[in-house]
Amino acid sequence: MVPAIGVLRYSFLDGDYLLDGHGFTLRHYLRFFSDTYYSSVLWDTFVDGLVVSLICLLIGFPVGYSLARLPPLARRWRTIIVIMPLTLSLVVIVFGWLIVLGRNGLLNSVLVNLGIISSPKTFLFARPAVILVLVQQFLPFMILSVMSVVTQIDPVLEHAASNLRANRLVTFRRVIIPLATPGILVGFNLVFVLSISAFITPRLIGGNRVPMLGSLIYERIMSEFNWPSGAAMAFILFVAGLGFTAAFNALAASRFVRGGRHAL
Amino acid sequence: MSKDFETSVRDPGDYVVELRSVSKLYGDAVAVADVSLGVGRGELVCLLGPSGCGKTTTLRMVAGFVEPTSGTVEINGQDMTHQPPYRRDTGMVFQSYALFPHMTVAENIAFGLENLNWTRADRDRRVSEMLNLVELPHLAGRLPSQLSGGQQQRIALARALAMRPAVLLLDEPFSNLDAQLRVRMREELRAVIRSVEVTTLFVTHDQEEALTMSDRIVVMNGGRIEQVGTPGDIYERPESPFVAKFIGWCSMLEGAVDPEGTFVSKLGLRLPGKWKAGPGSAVIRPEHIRLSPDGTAGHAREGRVVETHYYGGATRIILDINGEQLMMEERFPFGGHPKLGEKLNVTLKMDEIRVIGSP
Amino acid sequence: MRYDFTDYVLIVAGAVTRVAVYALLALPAALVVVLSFTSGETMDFPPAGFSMQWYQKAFESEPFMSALWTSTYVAVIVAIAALVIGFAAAFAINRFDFPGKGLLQALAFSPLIVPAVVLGIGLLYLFAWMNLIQTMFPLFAGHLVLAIPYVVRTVLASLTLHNRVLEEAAMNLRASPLRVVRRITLPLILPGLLSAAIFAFVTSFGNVTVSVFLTYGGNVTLPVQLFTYLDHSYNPLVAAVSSIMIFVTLAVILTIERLIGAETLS
Repeated sequence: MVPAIGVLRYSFLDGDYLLDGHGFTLRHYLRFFSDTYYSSVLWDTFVDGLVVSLICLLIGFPVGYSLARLPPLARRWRTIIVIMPLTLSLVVIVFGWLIVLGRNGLLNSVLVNLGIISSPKTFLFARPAVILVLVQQFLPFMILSVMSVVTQIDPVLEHAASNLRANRLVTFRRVIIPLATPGILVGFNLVFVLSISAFITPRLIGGNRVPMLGSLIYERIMSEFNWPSGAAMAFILFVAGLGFTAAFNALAASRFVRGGRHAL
Repeated sequence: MSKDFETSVRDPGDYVVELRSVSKLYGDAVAVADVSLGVGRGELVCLLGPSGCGKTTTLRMVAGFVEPTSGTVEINGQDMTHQPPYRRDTGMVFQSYALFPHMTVAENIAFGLENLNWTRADRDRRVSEMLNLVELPHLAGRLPSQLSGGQQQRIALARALAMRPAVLLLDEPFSNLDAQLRVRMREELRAVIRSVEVTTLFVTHDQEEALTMSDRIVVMNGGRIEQVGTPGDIYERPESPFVAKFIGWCSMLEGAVDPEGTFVSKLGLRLPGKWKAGPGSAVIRPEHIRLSPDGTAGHAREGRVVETHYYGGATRIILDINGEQLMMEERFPFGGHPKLGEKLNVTLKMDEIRVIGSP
Repeated sequence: MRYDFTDYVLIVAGAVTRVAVYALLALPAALVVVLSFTSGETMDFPPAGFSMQWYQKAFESEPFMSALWTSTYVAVIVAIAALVIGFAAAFAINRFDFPGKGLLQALAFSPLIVPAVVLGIGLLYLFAWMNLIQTMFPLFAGHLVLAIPYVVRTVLASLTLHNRVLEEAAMNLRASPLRVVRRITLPLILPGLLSAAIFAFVTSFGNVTVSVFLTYGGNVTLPVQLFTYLDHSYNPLVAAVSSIMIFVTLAVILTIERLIGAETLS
């Protein structure tokens, strides 16, 4: 918490270089909100965060569900694969993607050999690539959240549903998903907050073509050395993250997830 | 009992464990209320009652895991009320046995002796002595996870007895064993306790365990002592409807004793006898009712069969006698099983039936 | 069992998704390892041939090796400090009631409230203000803030699973409270403690999002070194260095898996 308060303090400093300046000004905030470039980056960042979270939910849910229902032995190596991207240094993962998506990388080489494209294409430095890499990074959080909540749902409930003539789709829609909603919300929230604050991935995969709030902050501070302005942007990011977390918590507590409490 | 206790003048050495007006409150909830109890040297006393009656809390107050809200706990005549568990001369066998999973059987048994700073040679000698006592000397090097339930129980007993504690505390020691093993371990445990002559306080909710093992039974209910007595006292002369119902099976009739000493139930069933006049409840155990085919002997009655439950060795029958439903047990010859609605002639053993006066 | 049509669709879709997801998760790391053994000069796929030359070059590269040393040394200190602080906090939360307990618990269970950028910048400003920016303190502080919540959670989980009756049994056998902790509690939660320390190590060892703000010329960690390098170019040398990080991480995960099961890390 202390760093966040420090950031808040510096964001009001009346200077443009390192810790120069003193006093109190809203200049950096005003600049941020009046320039359409920044507001479009802010908007894009939120949209990207939402897209990443939705994709993670869509493809993470089946994996998290199956992990929870697998016998321990089969669960083992799968869990290791899921944990690996969480534990491994982010730079290494991003580096891996650079060589997958690069001009002479794996993807181009496979596509050309299959005859789908005639010559290598540029995948890097584009929004889809950034979203793909963010999904891969944060997918484990979604999988683990879903897994932990599904573990607490007694499989007998599913048997009971099928005994009551529900097919799998109905069982999922009427039993599993309502009970798993708390885990889904936790995972969604985590992935969203992590995505909007990402800066390594947009910078290395997206280059200058795909600016996100995080990479702007990084540049402002580490290249331009405008600390007060960077602080203002970081604080906006922090508040946005907190706001979304609070909204998700409110949603989780509402009757929207009335089934959830029974699962826990 | 509690009155006797307060008025008697006695030598403080009489009791190994003595509780005086001990109460335990959790907020407003009363776990144990004003319990006074003495356990004599070499005696095996059992705390018996349904779950939540305060028996385990009482035991844990003796061991020192729970501090009483009021009252005192003495062990060997010394006030131990506010002493931590590790300063008390007690040996406890936990319900889950609580054997240390990272220590071998021998290390488990030696652990307490180490804490008393015994030398290695002394410890080794006592450990093998204890292993011989529970007849498991070949398991010294095993880990608890490699033992069966019965073996774990015996090791837990050996560990608790190794320090020769003033009092052995047993918390539902048989609840984790299957039915057959339970009976065998009960006999073994009784034999070991007899052979080392250790004073024992024992907690159970199983009346059969209490009746077969104890010198004295303390029946508890709702944090209070209902009755203290020998197993025979408790079964044959219950002092409250709760004790009568909790120990063994019985039918209980509400009613009153008239001036002639005859009990008349609310529905009008008359049981002639010599009870004290006044309102009361009659306790009729299944064995107080016997078949008498000729319908003449003693206080004969005719009953209609309302329910039958076949138990193999015997059949439990609910009879309707003058509108009152009474339970009896009888072994019927093959094919001679009574049918619902059939009339049976029975005799009631009036002299064994007890009437508990209303307070 | 009899399935209807939607059941089949679900089963097939689920199986395809699962295979694709596991492949996606494993792909980047696997490719880095494969290409680190290339005998060519570029990162082109497929690799030109097999050789260990890039590992040899990696071990001869002064910037990478000194960064590896910095990372290792920082991570070891962070692991030890995080374990001590985290164990104390977890033990206090598990055993005692004290003012601020709820707050401490909330902090331990929500380490992601503050985004890494904000944490990094905040610490940068804080230490710049204290004039300590050219030291190792910012890095230690940043990594500790990240690692301690994991340690608290792991140790707390072990303490919760740990059977308190065993401690009562030890006390009944005349063991003093200190002896109970030393002979019973600590040995029984040792796997949890070890994995917490190892996980703190790997958190510090691999971190880049916070470190990148807190390093200075003299104490660049390996991930930060890789990041600056990747900003300009990449070649098989980076693959070899990255593979070393992958091997270390994999070894750590397998160790923890052996100790307490990998799920505990989530």
